[in-house]
Amino acid sequence: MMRRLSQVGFALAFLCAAGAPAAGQEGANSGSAAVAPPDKVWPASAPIVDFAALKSLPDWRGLWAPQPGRAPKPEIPRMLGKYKAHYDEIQSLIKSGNPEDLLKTERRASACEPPGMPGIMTQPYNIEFLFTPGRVTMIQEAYMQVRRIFTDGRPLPEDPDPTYNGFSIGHWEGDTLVVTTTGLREGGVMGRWGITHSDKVKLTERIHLDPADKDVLIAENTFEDPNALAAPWHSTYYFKRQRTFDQLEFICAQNDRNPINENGDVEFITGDQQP
Amino acid sequence: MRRTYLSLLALAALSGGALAHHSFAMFDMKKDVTAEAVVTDFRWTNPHAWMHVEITDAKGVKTNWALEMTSPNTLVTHGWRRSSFKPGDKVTVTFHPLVNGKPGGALVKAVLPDKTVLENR
Repeated sequence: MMRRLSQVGFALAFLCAAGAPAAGQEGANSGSAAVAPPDKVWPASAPIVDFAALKSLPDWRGLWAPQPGRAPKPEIPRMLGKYKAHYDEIQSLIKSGNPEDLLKTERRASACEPPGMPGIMTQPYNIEFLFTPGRVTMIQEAYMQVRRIFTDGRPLPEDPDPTYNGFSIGHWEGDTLVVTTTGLREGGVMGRWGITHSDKVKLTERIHLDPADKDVLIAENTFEDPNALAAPWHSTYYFKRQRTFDQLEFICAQNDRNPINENGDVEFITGDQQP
Repeated sequence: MRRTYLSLLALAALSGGALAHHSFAMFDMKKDVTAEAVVTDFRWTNPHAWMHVEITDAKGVKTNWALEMTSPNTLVTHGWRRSSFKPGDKVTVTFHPLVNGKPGGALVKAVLPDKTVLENR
């Protein structure tokens, strides 16, 4: 067994060092699942770049603070199957107002687990945008989360590994950034407790400055999900520009005193665990 | 200012997306406890800053309370610094206590001896 493991380890080391598929112990080209890395270079990473294209983009500099009180109340989603059952259960817990019940609305393995899309957009912390040719990068201050939105014409992947933030492509329609995101994890939350999506969800965001106030950013969301939604569900987020702060570091593991117990309830450690 | 704070919290309680680390459901948000205290520890950390204070009740029993705040990222915009408190400082704290009765809570505000008010926002 050890011998096998060491051989696999050696093969892995060889693969890393040589950058080429390694030969299996039974002989070359037998049963290797290794595939060649992609050779297509998309414009965001191309050797030739046109920075002048950035001049035509709107000015989104600064930090954008969420304005949850400004957004209209989201419409009631028309949910399907197990997603509807989950929604109904959480809504009844919320309506009860009972603190014990409210504690049960959180279903995370760790309070330090970031929400992923679209929750990354609505945390009570700032977001900021960076424009580089062929790409928009968004940084959320909480947990220092990063979203990459490729605007260089690449397509969505056909069979993405589901991830917290998914895979996002975008294009500019005038001063509006239109973003399409797929590849999100099964069971992710769409913005309010209990509204969850499947791994087939597709989110379209239209993000733009408020024509009446250039210091207000608006993100209009349309969720489509053949498994979880009977009809597209819409929500809108508002943000206010801040120019006097920069984002600060946020390491959630630094002093997390809110573990989630085996019942799924958030706990509160009164004792100081810090050295 | 206080009204805004409470309404934001109420909103946070209803909207999962407005929360970062955890909800406020573990605290009795309708109850404010105000007490004179002595700081025993002050942690300027994420995901929350924490203040530990010793409070002496009417019977003379001393209890150490763990009071959770938001994060340094937010507190700095409301006048807090990592040096705002040190062990031994006298302070009057107002907090929402834990529902489960343990000696902990969510800080509402800390009032210094010179009447300076630091709100947990």
